[in-house]
Amino acid sequence: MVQSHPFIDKPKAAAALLLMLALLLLAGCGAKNASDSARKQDRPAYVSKGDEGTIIGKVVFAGTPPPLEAINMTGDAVCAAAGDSSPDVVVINNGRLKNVFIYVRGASVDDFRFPTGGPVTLDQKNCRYVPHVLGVQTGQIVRISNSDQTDHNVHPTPKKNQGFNISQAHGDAPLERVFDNQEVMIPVQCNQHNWMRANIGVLDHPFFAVSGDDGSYSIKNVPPGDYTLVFWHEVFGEQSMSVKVAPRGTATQDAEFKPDANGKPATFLRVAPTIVAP
Amino acid sequence: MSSPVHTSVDARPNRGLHLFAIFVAVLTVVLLLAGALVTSNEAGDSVPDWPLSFGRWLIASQRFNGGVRYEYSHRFIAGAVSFATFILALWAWFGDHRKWVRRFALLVFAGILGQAAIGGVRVLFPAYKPLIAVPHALIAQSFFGAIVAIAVFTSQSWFARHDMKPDGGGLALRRLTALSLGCVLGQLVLGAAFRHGAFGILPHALGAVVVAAVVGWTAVATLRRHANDRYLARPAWLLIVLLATQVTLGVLAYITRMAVAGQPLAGVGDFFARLQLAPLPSLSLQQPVEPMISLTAAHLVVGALTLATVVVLTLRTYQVLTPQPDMVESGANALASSPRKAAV
Repeated sequence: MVQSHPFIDKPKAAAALLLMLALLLLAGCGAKNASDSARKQDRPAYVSKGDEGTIIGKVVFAGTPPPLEAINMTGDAVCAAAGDSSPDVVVINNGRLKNVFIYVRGASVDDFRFPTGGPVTLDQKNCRYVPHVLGVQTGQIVRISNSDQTDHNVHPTPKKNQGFNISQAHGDAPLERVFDNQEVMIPVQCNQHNWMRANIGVLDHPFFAVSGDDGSYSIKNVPPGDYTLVFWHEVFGEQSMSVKVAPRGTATQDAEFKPDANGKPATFLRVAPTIVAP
Repeated sequence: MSSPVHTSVDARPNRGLHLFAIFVAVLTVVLLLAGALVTSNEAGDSVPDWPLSFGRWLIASQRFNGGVRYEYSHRFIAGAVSFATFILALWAWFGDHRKWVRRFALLVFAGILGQAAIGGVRVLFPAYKPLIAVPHALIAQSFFGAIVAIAVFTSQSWFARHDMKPDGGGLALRRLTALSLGCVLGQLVLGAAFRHGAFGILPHALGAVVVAAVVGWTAVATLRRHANDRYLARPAWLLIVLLATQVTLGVLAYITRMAVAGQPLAGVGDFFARLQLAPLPSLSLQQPVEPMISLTAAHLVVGALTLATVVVLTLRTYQVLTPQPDMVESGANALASSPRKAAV
């Protein structure tokens, strides 16, 4: 005599579960961010009056940075042979913070269309992304190359742009990609080498910079006007402040990051902007 | 309390099938561990194509480095488990006289195929990682529970004649064990959702309290009511050990994860203050490191073993405890004595 069992004979329940899962996946895959490139094209082209200014400054770090161990590259002999195992998500040289992405927001730039620059390169060298932080304009070509003798996969995970995950073996030709929508920032990771991280800031305009080894930055040819200057760091977060660019003037704006008493990433101390008349 | 095994030829358990089910269960634990290592090492997208890997079934040795080691090993072991499950389903179909066991084994095989497909979707649509990875994790654990159930159904002890006892003395154990099973599965979902960045640790931490209470209650109630029945007491004792281990591993995994994420905890008060709903911005600042990787993987495996033990206790409870005090013969015992020829 064959008997059914009370708690496993539920094929309908299993089928319903699978159907729900499939519907969830379809709903997720169908959701796409609308491109704002059309809106960008509707704006008038910016016409230079020859009175553009500059924003300069430096980013300093006060206090003790978060402890970061040396990178373990032993998973890939080629990478381990590269030698440099210093962390690159937080780089502080003599109290100056590197790899801060700085950009402006304001009607003087947001209401116009600016010409797109030439291709920018994101290289994979010594099992690092070079540069670690990169700014590009919407529609600008990002050329991704692999200078290493090992394989990588290039995996940006944007929220407002089309993501991709492409394997790039050593010797492969560079990949070229563009991002259509403004997004600050797009994390990039190599899943083959889990320490390899980069960040790409995508803006409609070209008024951005990345702080260098000495924490300094410079944003040139900025149309005169009042702006919000945004400082973004992948560990210490984003903060903003006001800055005014006078015709042909140079505005100096320093910034300081500082960890809080609990050792959490950071609070941001505002520094009063300095306006330098021409 | 157990008594001697049936002597009827038709009701004899298929020992080979049982041993093979245990083998598949062990292999599945290895697969779960491999999957845990993929996630902990952030290697889930290291092989961008699927079902092939870099366009091949067997990758070149020079490709087998970095994160590819974890992802490709996971795929390889998953293939082995799928094949073993196919053999198990085939063996059950031709080697077990119970129609429901044969159907169940077939359903489990369909489950592993579906799971493989979801794993493929996870690879091909990396932007929808939490949405896909969480069901992938749930089905993985459920599959493991189902394989353990097959091992139970084919075991000698399942076929042995048991003295039927009323399920009394408070809240029925049949209900408690079923509740425990639901709670553990729910907790696995919450853990996977935290791990894959759907939300923060708070739901999983609250779930841990609920699971500890319900599963602990179930185990203690089992021991208090059936301390002399090893058939029920053994999994209950094991459950208590696993529960304590799991909570300890969970706390340690969380502490080390926060440190790796650049937010080290500063004492007990800070531990509770950081139980938040918002997900961590990233798994790690620079790269995942030990002991976080091992602790998290161990936490996942012990979670799976906890689920397996709850499955065993639930099945045995339903087998030997009658819902009404006057009931003397359970359906499970009747199943064990059903003629083999009727099912083949």
